[in-house]
Amino acid sequence: MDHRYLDPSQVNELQLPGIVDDLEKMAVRILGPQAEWTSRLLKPAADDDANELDRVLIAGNQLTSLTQPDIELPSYRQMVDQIADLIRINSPARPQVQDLVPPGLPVDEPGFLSRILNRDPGIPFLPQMVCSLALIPWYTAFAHGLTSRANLGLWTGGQCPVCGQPPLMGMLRPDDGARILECWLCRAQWGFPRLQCPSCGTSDQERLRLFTFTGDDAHRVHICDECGRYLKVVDARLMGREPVLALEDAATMSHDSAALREGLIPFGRSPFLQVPLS
Amino acid sequence: MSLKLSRRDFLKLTGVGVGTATLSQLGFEGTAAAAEPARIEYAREVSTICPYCSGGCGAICYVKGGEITSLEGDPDHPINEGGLCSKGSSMFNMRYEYDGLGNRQYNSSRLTEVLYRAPNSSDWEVKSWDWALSEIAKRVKATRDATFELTDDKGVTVNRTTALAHLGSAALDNEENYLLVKMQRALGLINLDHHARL
Repeated sequence: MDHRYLDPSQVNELQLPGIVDDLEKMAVRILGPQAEWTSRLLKPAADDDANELDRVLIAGNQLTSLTQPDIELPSYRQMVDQIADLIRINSPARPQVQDLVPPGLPVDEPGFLSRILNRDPGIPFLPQMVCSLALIPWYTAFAHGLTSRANLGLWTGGQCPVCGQPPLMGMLRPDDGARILECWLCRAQWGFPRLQCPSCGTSDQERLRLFTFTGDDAHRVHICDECGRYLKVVDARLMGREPVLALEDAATMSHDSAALREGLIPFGRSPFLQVPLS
Repeated sequence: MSLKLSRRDFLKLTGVGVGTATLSQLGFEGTAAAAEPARIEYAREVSTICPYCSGGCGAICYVKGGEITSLEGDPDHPINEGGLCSKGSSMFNMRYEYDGLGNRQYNSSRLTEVLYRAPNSSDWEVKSWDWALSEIAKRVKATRDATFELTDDKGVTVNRTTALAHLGSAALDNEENYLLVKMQRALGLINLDHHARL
């Protein structure tokens, strides 16, 4: 038996931090402007050959290997400022703008966006969070144009088929309980088998497990003891509504706490969570 | 092993390390009054195949502490894609039942030993597996010997018995079915069927 697999008799008490509600409220307020920017950035579908998109997916390459989103840096800068303002207003501590967007932050420089995508440790957590949240509308609009033509069912990977980023969370589909992953960046959704680790690919059911909090079966954490990673998953069948995973992520920080407390590493990427990657 | 998580632990976990900017800088710290206890429940998902018919639908069992707590169709199984028929949905009850108070217990109707009802008897007797297998073998041989036909009424060689039949099971795999058919044909049986056709 794996040393991390607890006997059910060892059910323990966990103190939830009281931040979840506040963080979810902030996430709601960020979601609105993100959606507005996304709709503004939507473009008519390009003339890409759908078969070519499918061939890229079958070859195991994400669609950004074929085409890239067009991001105007001045507009992005506006979005960064807007997100920073929203976070400042909706944070209990009312941080200073310079904490969120330091004066020397090279937002306008080419190459900065890839530093954000790669989680450059040289960028502090708060600016990283602001810049990540600001980037989402461009990639969401970009993915919208591609996913309407590409067949994401051809994709078998755990990373996003559109941009190659990790998922934000997973969701068990209301219709049949299939696990759907959603990209933290472009919000693309794709299916991934329930009994397989999206990080290392193992299907060894002895190495896969999950946990929930008592009384809340709708939110679960899928754990792989092969690679030591976890992924939060919402069971939409128990929600009674279509979950908005960007909000569910904020609302389930306590699940992250419990998983991290166990020494697990997040496979998903949340803008609100930064942990050492190894 | 304690899983108590203090506010301090949470803040450490949401940052790169002590001294770096974290969510706590935004004031998302919570208070002791807002903290609420939560209990963690571990479980596993285990896939299985429905034993009822030859469809071979996939199912996922939720297992907590070695016991199945619930069961559902496997959405990734190519045959049923998450669906289960009414029989398949009742697989849980092959192992468990609920008493009048809603407590789960092992299904009392589940046979765990060999029962034998003798001809003209109304009572079941508990027998051993050795007795049962030996008795079946004796009766099969006696019936076959008494009814075996070398030729039919036109003189054509048939080497058969019509007094015995064999009923297969969806719980058997290809290799088991292959061996069973070989054995029954060798005995001269010509009536072979499958319970899923009933």
